[in-house]
Amino acid sequence: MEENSAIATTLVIEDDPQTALHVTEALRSIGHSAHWAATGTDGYHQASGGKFDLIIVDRMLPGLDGLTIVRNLRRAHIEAPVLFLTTMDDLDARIEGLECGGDDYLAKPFATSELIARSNALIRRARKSVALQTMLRVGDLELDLLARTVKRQGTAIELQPQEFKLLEYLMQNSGRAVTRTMLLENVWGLDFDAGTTIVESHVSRLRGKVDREFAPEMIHTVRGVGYILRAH
Amino acid sequence: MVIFAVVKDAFENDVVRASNDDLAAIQRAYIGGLPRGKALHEAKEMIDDRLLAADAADLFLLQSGSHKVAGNLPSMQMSVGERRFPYPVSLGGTAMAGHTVLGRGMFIDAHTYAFVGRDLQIATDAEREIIGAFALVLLASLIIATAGGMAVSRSFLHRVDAITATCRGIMVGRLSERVPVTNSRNELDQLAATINSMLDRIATLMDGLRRVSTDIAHDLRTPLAHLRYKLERAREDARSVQDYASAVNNAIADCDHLMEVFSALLRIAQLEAGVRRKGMAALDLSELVRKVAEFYEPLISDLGRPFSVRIAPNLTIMGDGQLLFRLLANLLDNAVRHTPDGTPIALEAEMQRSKVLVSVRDKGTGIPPEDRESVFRRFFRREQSRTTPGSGLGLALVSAIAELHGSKVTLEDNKPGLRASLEFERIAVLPVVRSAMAEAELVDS
Repeated sequence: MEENSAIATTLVIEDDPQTALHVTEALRSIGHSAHWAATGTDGYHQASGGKFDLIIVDRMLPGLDGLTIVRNLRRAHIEAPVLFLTTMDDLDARIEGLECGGDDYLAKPFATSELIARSNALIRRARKSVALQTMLRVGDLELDLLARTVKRQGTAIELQPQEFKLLEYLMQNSGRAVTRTMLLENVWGLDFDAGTTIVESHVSRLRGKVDREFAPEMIHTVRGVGYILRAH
Repeated sequence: MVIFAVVKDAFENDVVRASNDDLAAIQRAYIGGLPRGKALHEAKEMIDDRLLAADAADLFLLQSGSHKVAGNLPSMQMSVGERRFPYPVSLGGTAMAGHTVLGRGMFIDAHTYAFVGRDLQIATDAEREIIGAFALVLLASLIIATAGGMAVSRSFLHRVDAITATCRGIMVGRLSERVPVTNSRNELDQLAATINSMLDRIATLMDGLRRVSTDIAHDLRTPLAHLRYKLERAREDARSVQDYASAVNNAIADCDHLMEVFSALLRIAQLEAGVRRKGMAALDLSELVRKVAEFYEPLISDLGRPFSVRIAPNLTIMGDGQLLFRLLANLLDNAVRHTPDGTPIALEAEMQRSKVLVSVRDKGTGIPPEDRESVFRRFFRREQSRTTPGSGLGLALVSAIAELHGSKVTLEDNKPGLRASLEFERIAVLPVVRSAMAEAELVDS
């Protein structure tokens, strides 16, 4: 299940040494090879080499700013996923970042677990998007994206549209923890933290349908991080 | 200069034509006198008559052989056709020096020669007058233009100076200065008005920023002081690894809370400054409220609360979907947090008195009338809710979002409990959308 993201190569473009250290250490702890560029210009040159599986870039940088770097990379057909890291937690800054070719946005300060979860999700999505999947399978759980049906051990499970989306996201990231904010963003399209308990309620409903009558349990809570769906 | 050439040319043509006419008349008189042998006499009489009546510019000559018979020109060489020669000095003296004669000569019989011409000085005079007139007009317009230009540029420069002075004033910190606007409605006034509204906008933003910095200074200090105190106490009191671990966890939780407060403050300031106008669009509020209801339903029923949802269809308003979702989420969240488990909650969206009305109602203890205004203030927390978690900024945020939408949250007694409601203007469905719907219907049928 740990598949090939273990050898992922990540570029961190960040001018603050302490943040850079924090990020690169976090990435190395999950087996990434992490490179650090301290200025926008340097970062852009390294990134345009095109050998990276993930580029983490600060918005405000000396030399080239983050938005310009990403815009130029996309123009040069460098398609590596980009995670913006920034103190500009502005309502429109996020949209701006995504519009210019970024894939995700994380505001400083952030929890290490959030950074890791998002990095993993981005790398995985980039690797999988080559082949468009219509059927997701994890262990004995099957989700058909076209027929909108879910089966476990061959038994059909009835899900509400929200529950279906939630399960789809968990399965797409199976084997990796996803955080509450990732769920809020990707399942409900919300850009604010609506509180712990509300996501917990949704997940426990889903558990009731996917796990209660089957063994083993697939959806687990990761304390202080979020949730994980795995085959065993 | 072109006019000039044309005038001169026309005048000379005229002279030649008139000379021809006169010559023809002289010849007719001459021929008419022939049978009586008085031909020369008739011609002379005619010329004399003409000379009596004529103005000085007319010049005549009738000569038989080299002998002058009549006219005011001295006898000359008898050459035929158009002739141009200097005014004879013997005739006019020095006064006529420089004048030119133009005319035509012809033989009216084998020995008799006649010449009729004009002094071209009239044309030259006219030329000079035209030049004079032109020069006068030119000079006058030059003077008027210069004076007008000076007057205009002086008033222009005056206005530009006023704008510059205002800008300089602002640069040195006198932010309340504005460019004076006259009511002449010209381009400069438009510019002044634009600059003034720009300055107003900047002032609003500055106010927002100033308020945020004040809030941050005042309101983040307290939790930071608490955090520091807790860490100090952990350093003194912690005896085991577990003690330290729990102190660190508490500290991280405190940091997260601080960040949350900080973000909320910034967001409120942005909303109050009206930054997020971009997100405004025609929006199906019925659909949005339905989504909010679906999002909250599991939590609310998990807490054993009856949740009633009533949504009228097609309530279209202008709004920012993300922000309105957040607003309703906040109101529901408040209802959940500030009423005991099992208390019913209702979410409604409907038309009322031609407005779109959205409300969240609970059957809890409500908020007494005297507190209904102050709950919207930042960091205001009622005594009873001091123990429940929350930043104290939720309703301030709600109120900022409502204001951005030109609305206001009304808190009322739900008898019992609290009813929080907002009104929006309903807008007509956009034509594009309607035609798309019409097409869909056509396809369906």
